[in-house]
Amino acid sequence: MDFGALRTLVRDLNFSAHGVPATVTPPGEAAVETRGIWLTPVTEQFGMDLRRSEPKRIMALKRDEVPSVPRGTLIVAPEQAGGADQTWRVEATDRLEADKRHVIVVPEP
Amino acid sequence: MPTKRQQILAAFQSRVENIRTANGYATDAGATVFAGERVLLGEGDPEIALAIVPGDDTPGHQGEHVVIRLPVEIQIIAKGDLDDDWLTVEAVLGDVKKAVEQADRTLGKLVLRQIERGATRTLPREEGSTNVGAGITYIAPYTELWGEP
Repeated sequence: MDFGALRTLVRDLNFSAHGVPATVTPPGEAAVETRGIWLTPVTEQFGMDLRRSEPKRIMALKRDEVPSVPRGTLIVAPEQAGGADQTWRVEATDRLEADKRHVIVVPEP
Repeated sequence: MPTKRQQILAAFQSRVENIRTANGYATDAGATVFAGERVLLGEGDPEIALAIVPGDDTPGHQGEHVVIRLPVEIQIIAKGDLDDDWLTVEAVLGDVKKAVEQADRTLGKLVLRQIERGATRTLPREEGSTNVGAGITYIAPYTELWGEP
């Protein structure tokens, strides 16, 4: 029994319910309007004896809508639903799943 | 009367606290200097900070005096420019060297001969982080009288 359509429906419902509007622009390519889900930030510590605790921000994007998200891709999205748009820069892919990709982003200065 | 070791650490702290752009330095790293504690900064804390971190000392010749080599690492943590984060590290390292390596390398006659330069290490920015770091070690050779540190 093929559950592909059901899986896609569930995924799309998730992105509709939990996602924020996101404009994804890979380097040298056209912007794509989509939705992204902010995952719970992972707080990591950087440094030696003197350290800084900083949340690592990760966003999930649909692979069929944004097939390529290389390092340097810009994402315009609010940090919270209903918030003001902010620009983020993709630094790495954290995880690749069949239908979505998790990317690590930092605030674009 | 503070011990000689305490005076040496205080001398390093005093020198790096001068690191301000108003004093001709490239950064204001001297505005936040920690000593004697492990610090975990977070959101809302200063973007650039220094820490004076004494390492394990090495006793040498022991007679009436104990000859000691005290490593002191000046650790740096700073928010880096995403495109040129290495430049942030180099700017602060330059400031620390300029502040510590003054004409008087005896720290006001606290050390034998002069302080020595140790290793420099850098912590590059990692993906997802906005921080860079570095540490530069100085060695302070000094003597303590038995029972009169």
